[in-house]
Amino acid sequence: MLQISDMTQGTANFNLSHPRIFADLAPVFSAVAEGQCVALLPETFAPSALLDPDPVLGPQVGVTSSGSTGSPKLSWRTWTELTSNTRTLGESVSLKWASPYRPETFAGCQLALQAWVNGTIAVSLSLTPNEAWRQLLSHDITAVSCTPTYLYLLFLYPQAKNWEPIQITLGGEPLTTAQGQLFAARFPKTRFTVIYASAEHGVLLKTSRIDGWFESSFLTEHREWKLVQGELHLHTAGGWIATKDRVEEEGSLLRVVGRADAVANIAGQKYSLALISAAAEKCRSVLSARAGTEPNPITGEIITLNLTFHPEIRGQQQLAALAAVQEALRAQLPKPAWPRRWIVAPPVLGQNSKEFSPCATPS
Amino acid sequence: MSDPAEKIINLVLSIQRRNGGILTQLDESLPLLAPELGLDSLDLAEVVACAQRESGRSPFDEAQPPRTWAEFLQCCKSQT
Repeated sequence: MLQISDMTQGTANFNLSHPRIFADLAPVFSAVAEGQCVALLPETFAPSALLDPDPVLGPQVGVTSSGSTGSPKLSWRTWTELTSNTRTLGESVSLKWASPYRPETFAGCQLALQAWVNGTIAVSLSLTPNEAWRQLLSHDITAVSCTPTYLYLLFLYPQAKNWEPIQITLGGEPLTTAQGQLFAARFPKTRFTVIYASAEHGVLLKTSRIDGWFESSFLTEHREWKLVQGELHLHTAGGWIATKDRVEEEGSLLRVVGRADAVANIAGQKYSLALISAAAEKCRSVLSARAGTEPNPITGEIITLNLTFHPEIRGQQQLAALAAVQEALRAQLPKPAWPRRWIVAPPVLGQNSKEFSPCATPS
Repeated sequence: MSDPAEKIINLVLSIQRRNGGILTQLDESLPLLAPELGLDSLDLAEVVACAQRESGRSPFDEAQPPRTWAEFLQCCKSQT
């Protein structure tokens, strides 16, 4: 039985746990397997009110997401669902896992459970790359679960040269085609899984493709869904709900582009930041792009664009690549949606992000 | 390294060339959205964003917002 000293008494219906690392989830899983409900909360989160789990659904784990408001939000996932997402056959059973995901999140909890059911390890990775590499190598990690951005950061370090993991699972943010190609080329023997999931809805899409697209059949098998003006809607017991994720459909494939509610308000007109990012990512030189906003006294807001070019594009080549991206976006987007501030992330370790002064931009 | 005013002037000229203009010098006596420059409010927003980064403040935070480019550049100089 779960020791009460390991957790805080929540309500009559569930207990609370504040895991710091994946190892802290072991007693939680044991307790839930025996029929308890346990909510996982960040250490700093002091809940004023938490939604009780539905007792009809049996043992459950409450996982935390940041939510669109930035305040932690608890979602209950059944033990049946969580364990059905684990693999207990074949090579998966011996994988030694590592991830920077927080243990109270859906992704972190799912990964830790994968290790727990198979009796292997799950290491909570540092967000500092050098420390993360020390952990990966000292624990002989064979499987990593992380965002594409985090994997790319690891990839830039010299330790990546001789590292050949068996499994890499990507999620947490859209994977661009360019990123996928880069990773596939660098890790040709590694098995990739790309997941689109959330604390509220669980795993919605899963694929071994590494081009940013998912087979829609996976979603269709598990859910009733539709796209409404490019936003994914799911049918639940409570009716249709909007996921706030913008999704593109091409034949039998789906691609998550970004958040549907991430919009810029330029002189009273709204523009989707996800679409602007996606337009930039279609440029061959661009590895990834993230559109954002900043306040402006003339138009209310302007659009900013953070770009990461392919690693081989350096120095003066970046100026030319940037000019090409700017020209492409100006041709595709309405004028209010043009980015007005451009920030290029470093292609190699040790360089700071460069803000491209308009004076440096070829006209 | 060019000073903030020079950067702003270069940006204004770059934008007006982007819009099909051929000016190589900025007549600082012109109003901010003078037809001769071919800039619209969206272009001006881009210049203001540049000025904010260079000087740390927007020229339009002043009690008297600038009406000409001379006043705009003066605001930027006084804020640095």
